[in-house]
Amino acid sequence: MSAYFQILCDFVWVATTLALVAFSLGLILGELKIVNVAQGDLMMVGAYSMYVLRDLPFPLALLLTFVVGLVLGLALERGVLRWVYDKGFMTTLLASWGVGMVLEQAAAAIFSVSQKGLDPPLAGQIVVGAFAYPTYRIAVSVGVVVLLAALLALVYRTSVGLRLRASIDNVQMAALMGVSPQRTFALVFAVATALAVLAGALVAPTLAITPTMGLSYLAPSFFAVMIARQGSLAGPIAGAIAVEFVFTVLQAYLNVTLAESILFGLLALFIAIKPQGVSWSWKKAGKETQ
Amino acid sequence: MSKDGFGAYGPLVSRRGFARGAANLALGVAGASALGGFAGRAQAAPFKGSRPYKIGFVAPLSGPVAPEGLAMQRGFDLGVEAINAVGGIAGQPVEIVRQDDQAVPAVAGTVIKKFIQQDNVDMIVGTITSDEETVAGQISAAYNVPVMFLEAGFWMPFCTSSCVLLGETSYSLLSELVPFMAEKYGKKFVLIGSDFEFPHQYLGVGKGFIAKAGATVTDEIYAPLGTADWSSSIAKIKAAAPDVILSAVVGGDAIAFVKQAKSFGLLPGAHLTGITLQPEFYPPMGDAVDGLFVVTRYSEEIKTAGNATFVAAYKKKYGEGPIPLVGVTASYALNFAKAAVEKAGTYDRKAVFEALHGARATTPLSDAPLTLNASNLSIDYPMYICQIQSGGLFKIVKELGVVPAGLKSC
Amino acid sequence: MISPATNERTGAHAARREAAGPSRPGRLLVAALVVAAALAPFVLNEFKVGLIALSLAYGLFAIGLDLAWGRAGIISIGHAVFFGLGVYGVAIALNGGGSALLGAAAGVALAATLGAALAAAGLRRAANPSTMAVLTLAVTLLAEKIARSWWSVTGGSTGIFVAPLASTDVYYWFCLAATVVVAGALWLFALRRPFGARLVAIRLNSQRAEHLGVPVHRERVVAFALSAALSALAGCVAAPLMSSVSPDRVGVVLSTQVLVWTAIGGKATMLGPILGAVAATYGQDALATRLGDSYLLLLGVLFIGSVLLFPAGVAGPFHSGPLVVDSGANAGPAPRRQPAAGDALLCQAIVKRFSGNVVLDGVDLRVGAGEIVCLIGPNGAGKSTLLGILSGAVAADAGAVALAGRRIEAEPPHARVAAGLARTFQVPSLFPGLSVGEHLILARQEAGGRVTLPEAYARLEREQRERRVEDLSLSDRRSLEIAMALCSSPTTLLLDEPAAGLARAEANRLAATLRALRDELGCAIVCVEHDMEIVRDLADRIVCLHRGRIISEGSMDAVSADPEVRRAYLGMA
Repeated sequence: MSAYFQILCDFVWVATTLALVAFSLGLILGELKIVNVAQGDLMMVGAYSMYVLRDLPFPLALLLTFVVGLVLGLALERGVLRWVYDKGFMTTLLASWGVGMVLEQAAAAIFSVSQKGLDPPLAGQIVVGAFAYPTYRIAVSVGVVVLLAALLALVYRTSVGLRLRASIDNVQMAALMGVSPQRTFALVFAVATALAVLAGALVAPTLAITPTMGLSYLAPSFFAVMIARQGSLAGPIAGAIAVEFVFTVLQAYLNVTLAESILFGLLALFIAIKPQGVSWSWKKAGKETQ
Repeated sequence: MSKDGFGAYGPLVSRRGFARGAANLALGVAGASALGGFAGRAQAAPFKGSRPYKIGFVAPLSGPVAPEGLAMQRGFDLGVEAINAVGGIAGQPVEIVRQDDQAVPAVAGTVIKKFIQQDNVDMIVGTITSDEETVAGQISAAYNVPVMFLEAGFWMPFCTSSCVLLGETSYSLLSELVPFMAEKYGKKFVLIGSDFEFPHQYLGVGKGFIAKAGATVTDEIYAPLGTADWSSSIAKIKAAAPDVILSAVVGGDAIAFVKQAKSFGLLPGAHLTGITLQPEFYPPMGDAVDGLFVVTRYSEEIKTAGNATFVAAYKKKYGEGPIPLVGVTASYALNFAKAAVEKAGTYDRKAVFEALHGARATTPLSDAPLTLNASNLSIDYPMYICQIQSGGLFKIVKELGVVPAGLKSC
Repeated sequence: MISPATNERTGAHAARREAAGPSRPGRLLVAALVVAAALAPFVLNEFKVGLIALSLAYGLFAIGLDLAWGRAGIISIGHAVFFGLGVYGVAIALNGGGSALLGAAAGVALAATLGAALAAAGLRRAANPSTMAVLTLAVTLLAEKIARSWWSVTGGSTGIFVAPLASTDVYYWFCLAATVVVAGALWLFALRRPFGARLVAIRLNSQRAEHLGVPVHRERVVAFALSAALSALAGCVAAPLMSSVSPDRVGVVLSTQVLVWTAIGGKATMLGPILGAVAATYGQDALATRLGDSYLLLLGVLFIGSVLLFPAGVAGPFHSGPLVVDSGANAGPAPRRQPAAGDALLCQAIVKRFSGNVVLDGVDLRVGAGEIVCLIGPNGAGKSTLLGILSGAVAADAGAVALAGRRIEAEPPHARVAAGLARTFQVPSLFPGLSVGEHLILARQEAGGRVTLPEAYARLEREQRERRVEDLSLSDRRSLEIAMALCSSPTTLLLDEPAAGLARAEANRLAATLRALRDELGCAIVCVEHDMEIVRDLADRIVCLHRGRIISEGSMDAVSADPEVRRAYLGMA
């Protein structure tokens, strides 16, 4: 029984952080139509930021790191991405790849490549009967779930979110309605960057902090976004949960390498069969014009 | 081949060293006389070369094992300073060409070929992982250029016309460790490692010794490099309830594994050992690994004159912090080169390689010079069982004497 | 101009540079480079010769990628899988004591098959650019994992050691010859032929290409499979130069690098990818020694800079001249089409829903041979959707469509074009960056020959042959669309609001031209139109759609007097 609790908690831990990264990726893909392959490196920035601020109280460091993320996102959007929007899908992909490379190398230059470590602010475990699970992980999982719920509420229940969704759906139309594309792009990218940075900051105490630490999150978050409908914002979250669920099940019975290989294979198959993704919404969609 | 004796890379090396100040130079000289002097004094009529002896240094300076590569380079630079301070090899300063192999075998192959075909090096030193070592060995063997490997654990699957292993082997790392742990804690072992060739090989050797000690392996777990979440593996370990955990998880994953083991309450408490526990990983791993045992051939505590000067020189140049083992090895590699060249009396690669068989040189590891086995070009090192202290010192708790490297004769 | 669906947006002036072949100075440059390259072993040391040989093989790999990406507009961020199949094929064969040729053949065959499968799955109608990106990414990650884990075959992370097959100089010349021969063959036998022209069309505007009769999906799959085979071939050539064949040669890092080489060298050029690969491989080695660890940082910065500032790459300026050349294969007359017997077009019980919303609710339409029918109706009635179903761009949920008696509702647009259906779009769907003459070359290529165009359109071709579509007026663009449609000798012409945006005089002229067209060629015309004056001039019969149903049919007077029609247009009053 305890084994199942363990698996459940592991699943929630990974799925929540993955969902956060996937949400930020989906935000960028939906609004800016850019595949941001530097998302993993943004996580790395968050981790290093927490390392630099490790002597401050954890919540304060987290807040400052979030601000760092906003600033970085703004700088990247205005400095690099703005020039490549109209140059095609591949150019934006390659530009973001270049950005990721520069971020990695900058981190290596500043911090050297040796692994850094950070202690979790909450040591110890929560014990329920025979079952014990690290307190930090549970706290973060709960926190991220709350954050995601708040984000979804923001997107689907507020006028700000409405403007965002309008802009995602049809930029020119939304512009005519008064939603400035430039400001929206910059703001969205900044927030999405900050969310990825935050995700990295939250996982930092559990891993080795290296310049290439973000790469292992890249592929799963991509898949999570791709199996959802493009432009959907709740979709990537559901996608992350689905991807992680399948992976957890596979991992429980097979060794990890085989589980990963099967996961990739399944995802490739899924994308081949259903390229437009799955519409996770159960609401009846409105009228679509040809 | 350059005419001024330094080439494009020489000044890089010596400038870096000299820039740190005359004090370092003095210390280097003092250390060098301990490190390099003995080898020189053993010659009757020292052979003098007509040009600088050229060495190609290859290491992963970017990529996942870059910290190890960096450590190796640092130790190597110290060794070069030391050698040059006592007149270099065969009376000529040593000339170094260096390049990053990014821990990618294809790149390592290109670098080695460049050293051999373009830079005409006399000897190659370096690289870290077994993948690059294999490539480097195969190419060097094709051209009969001696190559010295410094990293631990590589069990050479071939006897070649060029490879020398200065590191320790999986055999010597495990032959005493396993019986020690079995006797101290019990006979149930769980094995865990990163999922690529070297950990499989290391744990394979471990299984042999476990069987020999009459112990059993309850579970064997592998996770690919770059695994971020170790909870399922940790759960499997807990389920097996072992007496000893033998771990071949390497690199950044080792740190993630240990940190998460701590958060799950596995550490401290579990009896973890293996190549996961490297001194340079102590700062990020933290107190989770206090009190654990390892077998190693080096500790800062080793009481030889050579070690005292080496540690002082290293800390002076690179600051406080643990001294990685591969850095130590890199610092005395050139002593063996010097011994071989001066014994051979020529730079000829084949002759030098022959002379490496049975070559003796001083190291910080012992007062007496160590010998490269003539039969298989590895070194039987004196080894120690160390216990990790709070703060990261690897304290010697048992001297094991000379432990055979365990390679077969060529 | 933004091309829809799965294409990249291509700036008009960028398209200009991606020509079908180099200009005169470009050709001289190529010749000079080949000669210089052949002399390299006499001048450079063994290592450098080996390095250039390897970079030539990488150049061939980049050309393979460019066929898919630069020419066909297909996104692939996992192309190293194909390269790696070639490399491992040869390495495994040699390692096992077998023939390198056999290993190479197996690698190339496997790559082509995999490429075809990926393209068939990832480039279907429902897909968007990200689909192919993620699919190829998944495949490359999977391949690297397999290569790393399957030790018994691939040697795991250590890889396989491949001994050189010949002396470095000899193998270098072999590499040079292979690169020149393969690249030359590709250019002469694929890109200079109709296939290459079709790829240009598909890349610039796949929707228009499909409605000209180009089997878009099939050509893309062929292009991608060929690209995969080329990349694998490059891998076969590269294997003996590598010393160690390791899993990173199938992985995402190399896949990204080849994209960088191609982008910096110049997409859709023959020389660009090779230059990019050689410069990067050679330069990386040179930089690595000079700069030590920081060369990767410099590379990243350089790369961003070049992507932003030089999107056409280094070789771009050397390429000018027409994208599409007349291969001369279509100089003869087009095959005659049988005149339509019976109804030109018939559709029955067409139903179409979009996410639960019923847009067409049981539509029956009959168009007689040579009849002009105008479809009218208020906005949202379903007129454009019906046109889409007729032309094949949209699949109906129920109902049948017959063209000249033949059932076509299951056929894709290009097959319907071949059967005699042609269509224009509300916003003229043309090829950005191409001239009028090039458009007509493409149209004639698909038709298989020339037809005599009515004077109005022949005059357009005569007078504006060299002018690019961006520089044409709206009415000229519409005329060009119709001219292209006429090239296929259609029995039925579908026009979507042909008078929209035209001045009164132009619109009247259009109506006259269309009637003359019908009289001359005998084709039926179905025309969606809002402009009632045009409708009055043009239509033999008017059909009024409202909320997915036909509510009235007949002459202009009959329909305009119908109270249902009035209610539909004006509301309940």
